Amino acid sequence: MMVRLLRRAAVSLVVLTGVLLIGFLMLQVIPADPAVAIAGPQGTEAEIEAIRRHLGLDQPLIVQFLYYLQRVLSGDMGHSVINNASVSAELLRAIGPTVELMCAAMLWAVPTALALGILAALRRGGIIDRMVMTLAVMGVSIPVFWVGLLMIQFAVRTRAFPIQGRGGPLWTLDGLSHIALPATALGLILIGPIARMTRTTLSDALHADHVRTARAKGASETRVVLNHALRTAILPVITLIGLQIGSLMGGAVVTETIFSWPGVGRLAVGAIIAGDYPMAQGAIIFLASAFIIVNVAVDLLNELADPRLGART
Amino acid sequence: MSDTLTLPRRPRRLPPRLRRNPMAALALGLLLAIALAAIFAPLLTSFDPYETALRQRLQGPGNGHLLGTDSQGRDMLTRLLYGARTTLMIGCAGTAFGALLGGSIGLCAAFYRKLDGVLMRLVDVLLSFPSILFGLSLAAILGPGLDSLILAVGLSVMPGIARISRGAALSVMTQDYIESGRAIGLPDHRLLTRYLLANAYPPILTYTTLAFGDAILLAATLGFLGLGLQPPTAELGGIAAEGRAFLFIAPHVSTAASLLIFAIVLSFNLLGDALRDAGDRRAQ
Amino acid sequence: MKMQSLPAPQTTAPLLRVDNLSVSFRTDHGPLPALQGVSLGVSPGETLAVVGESGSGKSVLSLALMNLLPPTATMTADHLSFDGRDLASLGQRDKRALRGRDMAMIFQEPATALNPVQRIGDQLVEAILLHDDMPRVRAHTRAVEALAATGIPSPDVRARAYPHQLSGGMRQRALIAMALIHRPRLLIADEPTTALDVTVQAQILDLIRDLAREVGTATIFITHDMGVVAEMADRVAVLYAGRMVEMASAADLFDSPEHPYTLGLLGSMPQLSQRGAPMLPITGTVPDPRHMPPGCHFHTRCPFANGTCETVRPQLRRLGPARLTACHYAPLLETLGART
Repeated sequence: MMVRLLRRAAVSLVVLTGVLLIGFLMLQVIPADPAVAIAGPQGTEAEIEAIRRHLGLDQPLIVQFLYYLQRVLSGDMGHSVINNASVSAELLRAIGPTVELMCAAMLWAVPTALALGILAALRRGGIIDRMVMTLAVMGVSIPVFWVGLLMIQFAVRTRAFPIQGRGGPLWTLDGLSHIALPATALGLILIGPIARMTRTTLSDALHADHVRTARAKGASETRVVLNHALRTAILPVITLIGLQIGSLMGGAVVTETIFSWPGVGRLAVGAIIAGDYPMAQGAIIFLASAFIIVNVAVDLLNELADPRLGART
Repeated sequence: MSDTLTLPRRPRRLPPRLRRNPMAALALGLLLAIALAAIFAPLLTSFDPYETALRQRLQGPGNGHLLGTDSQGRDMLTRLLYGARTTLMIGCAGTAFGALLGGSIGLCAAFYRKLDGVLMRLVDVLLSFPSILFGLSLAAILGPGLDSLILAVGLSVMPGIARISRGAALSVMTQDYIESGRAIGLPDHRLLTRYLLANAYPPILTYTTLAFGDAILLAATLGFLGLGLQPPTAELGGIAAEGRAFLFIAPHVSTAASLLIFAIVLSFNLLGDALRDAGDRRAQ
Repeated sequence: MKMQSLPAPQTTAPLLRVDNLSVSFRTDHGPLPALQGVSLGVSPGETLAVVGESGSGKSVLSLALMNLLPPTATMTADHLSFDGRDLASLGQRDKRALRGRDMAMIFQEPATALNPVQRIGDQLVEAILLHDDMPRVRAHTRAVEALAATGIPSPDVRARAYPHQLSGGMRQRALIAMALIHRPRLLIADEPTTALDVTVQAQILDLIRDLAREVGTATIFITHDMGVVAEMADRVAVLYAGRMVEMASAADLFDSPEHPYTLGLLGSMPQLSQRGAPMLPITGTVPDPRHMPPGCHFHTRCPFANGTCETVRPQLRRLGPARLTACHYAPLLETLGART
């Protein structure tokens, strides 16, 4: 188990380096020479040369990349070329809202999807089953931005919810009403896949031998479903939820943009469109690294949840 | 000896089970109709997708414009037809690029077993990677535009195709004719194309068709975010984004474009499910 | 060997009685009959073996008696009683109360019959607490004791193990411990040794027999192995293609099988066939239940079949006080003797 986790971690580290390399390359395409920019219009040739040496720009690319790595690891991702704001500071401010939004989406969507999947598995071919299957294929086909736009239209017509920005803390009514629409739109992405997977694994598990044993013990049907069938059926679902974090993150980029949610995704999109390379680079490597790290964490969680995995190496 | 070298012909055409599945048949019909309308757009409409007529902006459906006009007074139906054309083209180009890349990786992983571990681990990491991040990165490096869009779509479909190709190629690798091909001293590139690819391609092709729906969705989403083609180019995601500013006075602009994207992607996914079901049933 | 044991007394009121039990499954291609008109009874403390090939319906019989048939199955019976109580009149809750406490079951595949993500001890504790109200700690102590009684070494350690950490034999011991934990009146064992190593099989059989005797439980033993029957059974019911074709005491059955199918089953058992019974390995396979041959279902594979067998279905006939068979030619040896 340790060996496999370490191997996974090693691969992730390689990919992480790749991500940083891409971030570094992003900075290389900046059309203007940073040394010229820093020296200002009055800068002499010698001053520019000195700044260039100071920044390590006279070194070969690979050395520059190592410098870059060192800077990123120490938390320095440069400054915005638009307003000279520190990229790390901006990111730090944007992480909270993004995490908040993703958590809020999962918080309502995962239990809902599980419940739908369970009901669908218990009544195969019933109304909920058909609904889940339809929802599953609709959910992966509908553009997230359209869901957002429809919700905005609905919200404006009913005047029920604010459609822009983030409100107060989540425990206040203001905070809740602001997050309601983006979290609903984002969560919808998860419903289909998770409900469908739960339905499939649970209906298989309901016919498993050990579930029959539980019935033979005299366990009630509720107990059989929740304690025995679901407990084995849930493992592939946990894996799937882990895999869905990628699409959740992608969805967050879109939802944040539509609802002006001050998160990392909106920061990234805005920076790219404005041509703010350092900011874009920072936001993208942050998102990618966060995804990779969360994935390793999900793997670890999976190992812990399934005692059978622990035995294999 | 020579007859061991003739490759077995396996008529693995896509199972014609669509008749049994009315939803899938409907989806196929819809897709064909949209594709044909997009291809023959210039013949179907007399309007120009780029000529603005500010006096007629944001008109509702009717009045000479079947679906109304957009914020520049351009005919919406025409914009949608040309938009679908662009979007489908990006989807095709991106998927083709992804299939080429993914197919090569998959075949190489199956053929050169030493590369398998490295290649497939990489593919696994990319498999669940948020595909929008590909779009963001490429738009940041290359600037928003056609090439970054196509590359991003390609990268997002690549890992899935690589996995399928590897699986298909691995089962072909167990066949005797690979050994006999090697025995008569064929060079690797010939074995890879004439033997491996020639026999492993059907599932790869099926999967590539299925990946098309995701490719369109990604292309449209990136377009919506402004990371794709820039206005005034007619592109479905871009049209939906343009309509966003006038959501409350002229919702039909955004809605029509979004609905069209949804219809295309949904049709592909329905078709994909039907193909997969048919494949499963055949496998049993 | 228990060959000399007397036929079980049928005079005592049977613990379990079922008359004319039929089960069929709903499928995409119409109903699929699995059991037709099976009647049997088990007395307290008695061991009844139900024998047949795979597809004979013997496992379906065990599930039907436990009320564990999947929802696709339809079951009808003229009479089904346990301990004098009509099971048909009991609600789900009452039937559930019987299951695991008064009637318990051991399954064929110990590898899958245990919950893979729950510790062995917890699974036993659950079985205890479902029918007995006691503190969890005491239930755990009892669970470990029950494991110890099945001969599992260091039971307290095993109780904390997950199923995949145990050997097949140990898993089956754990399942036996679980089944017998409430000292049930009836134990149904569905091929409990089939999935095990030959060396472990005998140990498990001994364990089931000893524990069943100690608890005083009646046992229905489902098997395809006549060697196991000889080892375990007081009485034997032979199933073929969903119908009962013979019922006899174990001694009578091995002495003078009256159905050609029974003869064939014995013939596939080397050490018994030496004892004078003609070697008759059964050829062919069980017919498709949807396309049963007319007449006697066994005639396509029967070495003695003639025209009557192809058209007229033989009914179960009484040949002795506790002896039934469904063959036109019974008693078989007389008929065979007359023929040659």
